[in-house]
Amino acid sequence: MAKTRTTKTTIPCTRLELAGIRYAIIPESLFEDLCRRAKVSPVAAETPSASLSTELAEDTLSLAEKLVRRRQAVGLSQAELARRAGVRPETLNRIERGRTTPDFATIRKLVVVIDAAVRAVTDGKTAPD
Amino acid sequence: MQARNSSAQATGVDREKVFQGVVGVVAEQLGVAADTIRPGDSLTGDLGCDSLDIVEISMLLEEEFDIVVPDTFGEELRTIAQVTDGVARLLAEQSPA
Repeated sequence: MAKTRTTKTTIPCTRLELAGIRYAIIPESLFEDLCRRAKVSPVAAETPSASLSTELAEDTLSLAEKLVRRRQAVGLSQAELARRAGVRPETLNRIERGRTTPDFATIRKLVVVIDAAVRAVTDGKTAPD
Repeated sequence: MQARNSSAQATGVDREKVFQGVVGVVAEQLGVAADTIRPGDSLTGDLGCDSLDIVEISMLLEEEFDIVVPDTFGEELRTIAQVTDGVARLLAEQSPA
């Protein structure tokens, strides 16, 4: 019997963060198909607020606002922060507009750069290159 | 039967000290009294951490314990007790022989 070759199936999804928990948003029809294949029944998740989308938007904007405030407080341009952190400028732009939620590693890169800039300012030096 | 963190105990990691250190870091980051933080408190739920807080807490833990926290830290650990166990495990793994 000929061997069947398994192929990777791509799943279109958007990754978002809500209250510190990361979610993968996929089309509902695909989700239901996956549940049928896994023989599981989805149940509605409990959320503390009335609207998942509202809480998601608020959480993403909260992170974005904090990052923008901290960046501006140390006098870094968006382009310069992106360069120093090794993050694409377009990605940082989306993060700061609350259009995307960065993962742990990306936030850490940004925080490291901002913290270094803060130390440079408090030490009375110009921001390190 | 008492659960044991055998790896941490084998290398002499004092879990209570780790717990106190974790609580101190979290209290400092969030501006809350350390004695109000309980082992079962979830970082994002009970303590109101957002993703920026999680990253900054992990960086403070690195300084406090002289460890390297992996990028999966924020996704894996939800409660103060889990963070304590995670730090104890990293101490056991990363302490010099």
